[in-house]
This record gives sequence, structure tokens and C-alpha cells, in this order.
Amino acid sequence: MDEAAWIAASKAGDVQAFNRLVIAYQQTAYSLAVRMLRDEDSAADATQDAFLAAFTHMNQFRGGSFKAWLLRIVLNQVYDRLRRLQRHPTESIDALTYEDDSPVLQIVNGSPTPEEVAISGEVMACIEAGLRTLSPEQRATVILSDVHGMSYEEIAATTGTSLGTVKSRLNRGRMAMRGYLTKHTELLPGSIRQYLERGRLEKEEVPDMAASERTGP
Amino acid sequence: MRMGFFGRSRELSHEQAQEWLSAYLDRQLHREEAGRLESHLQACAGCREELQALRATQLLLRTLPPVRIPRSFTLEAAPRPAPLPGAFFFLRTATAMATTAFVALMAAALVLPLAGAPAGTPAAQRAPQEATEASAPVVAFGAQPEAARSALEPTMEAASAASAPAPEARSAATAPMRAAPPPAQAPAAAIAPPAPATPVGEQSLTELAPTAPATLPKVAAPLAAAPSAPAPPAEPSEAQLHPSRPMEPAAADVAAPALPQADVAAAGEPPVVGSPGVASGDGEPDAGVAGIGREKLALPETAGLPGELVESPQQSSASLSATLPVLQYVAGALSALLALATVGTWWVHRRRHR
Repeated sequence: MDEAAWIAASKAGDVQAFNRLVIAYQQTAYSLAVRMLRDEDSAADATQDAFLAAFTHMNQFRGGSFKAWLLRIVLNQVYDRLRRLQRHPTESIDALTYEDDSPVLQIVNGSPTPEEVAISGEVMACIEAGLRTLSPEQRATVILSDVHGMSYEEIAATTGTSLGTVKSRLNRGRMAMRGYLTKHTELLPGSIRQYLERGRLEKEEVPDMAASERTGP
Repeated sequence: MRMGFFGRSRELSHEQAQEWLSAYLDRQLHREEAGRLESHLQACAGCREELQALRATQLLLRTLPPVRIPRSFTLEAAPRPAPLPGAFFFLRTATAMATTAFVALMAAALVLPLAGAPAGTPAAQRAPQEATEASAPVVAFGAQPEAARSALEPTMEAASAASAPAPEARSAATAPMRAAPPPAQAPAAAIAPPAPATPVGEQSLTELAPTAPATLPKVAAPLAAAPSAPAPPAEPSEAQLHPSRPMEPAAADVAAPALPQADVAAAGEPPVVGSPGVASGDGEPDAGVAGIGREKLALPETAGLPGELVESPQQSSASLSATLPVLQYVAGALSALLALATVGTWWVHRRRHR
């Protein structure tokens, strides 16, 4: 996969080359859009419009992270639609369709229990509902960081903000999520609940936590 | 960083520590900051629990499985719009810059005369409007001596009244015009004695009539080029003043070199010297040459001399007023051309890829 070659060809107008990029990033793009908008149809429209805009403006991409550039276009589409929704709110209660072979919840204390393996749709719905309580900017930051695993620098490039803003939004967003999840722990598996409430972590997960664990009061 | 009281500087406050927890989890804190946070965590159980809860939340979010896409988002080959050429984006930016420069220059043209405009006389304020409507000041100049005289007298009174404030007005004018007083005063002094005399005025008029074609061009050209803010009106008024002069087109060009000639003319021919003052009703630029010959050429002045004929035979002011219109035209033409190029590029692109 030579992304640079595809990008160069796309700039020259090669639709087939651009479609290779679409295939590589459409999962990420749609995932971001649908978690921001919570409506699959709007998210699909936003994703399609974003790819169209990206192709039209390929000559404005001057290097760096193509993923960040593309997701920024997706976020712009998302924010436009969120603004429109604010003016004309519509109810959308569609549940997201997850892949069948979903990754197992990573439990920090070793091998997962059967209860933990069977992650129910309610947990996912709980998390999604929690995300909805965040502001659009906090939600975008949390999704980009913890769902898509982007670095602070990439998130700053995608959202067009500074590192400090990313840190602040991520911190507040995560704390708000944690507060929401703590209030609805009845939906969560027991082990998760205890992690949220007491936050017992193993040292291999966060090595630098070992010191504070051992030297606690 | 918070400096605690009682010497406990560098100790992290609880609020600050809470704000750093996520960055600490993601290893985004500097080593020094991380050290301070760890010291705080050792002492603060609340922050420790919060940190661990944030970690659990992060892990939970990471467990969200990828969402299934409803369809493929690949673009169709043929009718999809191709990327706009890079030139389009460059042209768009260049157009914006050129248009901004053009607007700024037009605004400067409006602001400069206001900044340098002295009090002027009522006739002076009338003159600009009359300038636009006056067809042939020279004709009126020669053919209607009575009208000239009647127009002359109020102008003369205004001129003499204005000659006193003129120096003040001049000093209030723009810098380039400041040098006007010295050269203007000499001819003003020469003109002052005969000024109140109507016969002299008439004589000046008649003298001027035959000499107008010869001297007015000399004097008016530099004056026209003088630092008058309304540069666009300058040209039409110039034309109005000397419709028959072939020199007109070159007036602006000869402005600078003609300036010294104006001084010479002023020194050598007192009645003609009045012509610089022709500016009479011109408003600001007039101020400097206010008393000079305003009464003499009252008719042509009121007939529609632009403000420019006034005073300051200043090289800088002349060059400023000469350059500003040129810059405006250039900026305006450039922004129009760039806008056309931008739209054209977009249109051709759309046509080709429709």
C-alpha cells in the first residue's frame, strides 16, 4: 500500500487511486461520523460528502497526515449537520450496527471472565449514550483519542486546535464519561463496575502507576 | 504552576492535578510535571482513584468495536468532479489580496483629503460640485466677465478672509503641502495689494484671458497634480479647466517638473500668479494658495476648478497624488483580471469534467 502514490494520482484526478484511499479510510471516517451524529443516514451522507470534498480539494493537501486531513473534512461535515439539527431537532434512536466479530473487551486483570467476554449491546449503548452527553468538541476529542487511538498531535491537526486544548477537552470528556458510566453501572459487567468505582489497575497496564500503588497511604 | 503559600512552592494543587490526569495516562506530561503529579498522587487518594477510573473509562471506550459501514463510499468514475487545479486556489487567494489592496487604496483616496483638508471657503466647497458640471471654464472665463466679476467679488472676499486662515489651514494640511506657504506667500504678497480692486481683477481677468491658454497650462498642470485627495475628480476638472489644452493628458506627468515653473511663473507674472490661486473654491488644497490669485481667476475657479489647483507645489504631495490614482487603477485592474481568471479556471474545469 503506497498511500503517497495514491495521493499523488488523486491530485491529478485519478478517481480509481482516490477510491483506494476511500477504501482505506471509510471505516474510520464513517465510524467518527456516526458516533458524532448518532444517526446512520446523516452519518452516511456526511461521510460521502466528506470524500467528495476531499477529492475536489486534493490539491489543497500539502503533506502530513492524510488521515488527520480527511477526518478534519469529516468533522466539518459533522458540525454542519449538528448545527442544522440544533435548529431542526429530529429524534433518532437507531442502534448502531456493530461488526459480528467484535474485539473482546480488554480486561486489565488477565484472562477475561465469560461475563466479560459477552459484551452486551447494552454496554455499547451505554457508552454511546454517555458520549452523547458530551459537547461536540469533547466528544470528537474523546472518540479520536480513545476509539481511534490517535495521538494528541494528530487530534490537534484534525480538530484544528492546540495541544493544550486537546488535553483539556480530553480530560473533561473522559471525566464526564466516567461520571455518566458510574451512574449507570447496572448495565456494566461487575468487573468493569469495580474498576470504575474503585479503579483497581494492574501494574502491567500502567507501569508508572506501580509506584503510587505501592506507596499509597 | 501554582506557588503555594508558606514556602510550599511547586506543590500541585488538587484542581491542577485533576486537570493533568488524562495527559498523565497518555504520557503527554513533561517529566517534571509528571514528577510533581506523582508526588501529589502519593498524598491524594482521591486523585489516585480518579486516575484509575479514567483509565477504566479509556479502556471501555477502546473496546467499542468498529461500526459496520452501511455501504461503500467510493466515488463513481465518470461524472464525479475532478480535483480543482492547484492554480485555482492560488488565483483565489491572489484575487482576494488584490481586491483588498484595491479597496484600501480607494479608502486612502477618501481619507487623505479629509485628513489634509483645511477650512476652505464656502466658494471653495462649492467649487468641487461646480467642477463636475462646468462645461468650459475657459469659455466662461473669457465670455462672461460680468458673471466672472460677480462671482469674483464674493470669492475675493472669501479669499481675503481665507488668506489669513489659509496659512493655518495649510499647516493643518498634509505634510507635502506644508512647503506651500513659503512659495505661496510670495505670490500672495504680490497679489494682495491689487486683490481688492475690481478693476485690477478685471484687468487680471482680461490679462488672463489671452494668457490663460499659455499660462494656465503651466500653472494649472502642476497645481492639478498637487496633492489633491480626490484624484479622480482631478482629471475631469482639469479637462474642464483647459478643454482645449493638448497638454492635459500630460498634466499629471509634468506635474513635478512643472512645479518649479509655477513658482517662476508666479514670481514673474503677478496677475498670472493668481492662477495658482484659481483653486478658489477647491477646498483643502486651496487653503495654501488661498489669497494668491483667487480673486483673479474667480470665474474659472467657480466654474469648476477642482481642488487640485491649489497650492503646495510639493514634490512629495504631487507624487503622492500622481501615484495614488495610478495605484488604484493598477490594483483595480489586477483584481478584476484575477477574479476573471479564478472564475474562468473554475468554469473551464467544470465544463471539462461535467
